Amino acid sequence: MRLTPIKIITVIVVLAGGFIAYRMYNKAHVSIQGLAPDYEIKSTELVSEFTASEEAANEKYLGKILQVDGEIEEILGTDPTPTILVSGNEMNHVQAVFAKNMTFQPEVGKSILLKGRCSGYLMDVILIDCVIVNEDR
Amino acid sequence: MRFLTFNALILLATISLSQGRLMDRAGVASFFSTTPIEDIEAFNRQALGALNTADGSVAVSLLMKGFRFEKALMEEHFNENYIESDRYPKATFVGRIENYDKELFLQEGSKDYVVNGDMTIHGVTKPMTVGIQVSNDGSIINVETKFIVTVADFEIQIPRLMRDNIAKQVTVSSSFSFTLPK
Repeated sequence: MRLTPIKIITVIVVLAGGFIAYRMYNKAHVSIQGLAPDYEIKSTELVSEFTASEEAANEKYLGKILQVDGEIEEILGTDPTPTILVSGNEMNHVQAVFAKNMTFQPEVGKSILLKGRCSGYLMDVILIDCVIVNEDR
Repeated sequence: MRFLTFNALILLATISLSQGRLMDRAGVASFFSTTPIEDIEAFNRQALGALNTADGSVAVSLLMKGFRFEKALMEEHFNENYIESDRYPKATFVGRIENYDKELFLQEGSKDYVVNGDMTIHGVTKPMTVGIQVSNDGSIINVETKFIVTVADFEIQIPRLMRDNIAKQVTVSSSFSFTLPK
């Protein structure tokens, strides 16, 4: 078998294609640590927007990175990472679930500035992959 | 569909306002798909569960965008192509425990029950019967369930290219813990 330029090019293209496909398949989750927020908002205002019109708020915030400012009202859990409720109204809050490496000790009553991705609204507005921007300023 | 989702929310609200209501905002739901090509597993740790111990009604609601996959690409495909989470952000289950007896239910120990209800995924609602394991230690009621969902039942389209990678039936597991009032 002779190695014609066509054959060599074909092999290179197939290998490169395979490599790109492999890289895409194994693409890592992007941490939002270094990403700029799409919106900066007070937790109470975010909750009011969702309680006023879930549909309109979904349209605006779903999948977006929100930087939220509020007070820690309740700690729902710390395993594997903290999940906290941040001030909203009496019944609805912002539920923040922290990202993999965020293993801090949250304290009820402290104010917090965090960044997370909005996954929607159940009883609370839910932010996932959260990172702390600033704690108890 | 919108009407049904709305109903589910109303039921959640009624359960949460009535006597004997128990609620867990951080329930866990996961699903597992296995094929010879690959295993896919995703976890959601923000499932909302409500249980009314007065009449045995249950309601679960969760956000599709809350499912985390090992690989970012799987998550992207799940949200954008299969489950269309921008259009259908939630999955819900609303049901009632079969042959519910409040006193028996609130006794300490472990018991199995059957729950009949309606499950809504991807905007499609289907009647569903699931078994639950309930364990009560006097201060916390843990509820666990595991059942099979047929992907095609909920009109979830898997492109031909991916058909061998994703199982036709996926195993769904879920657990909630409800703290009993003192």
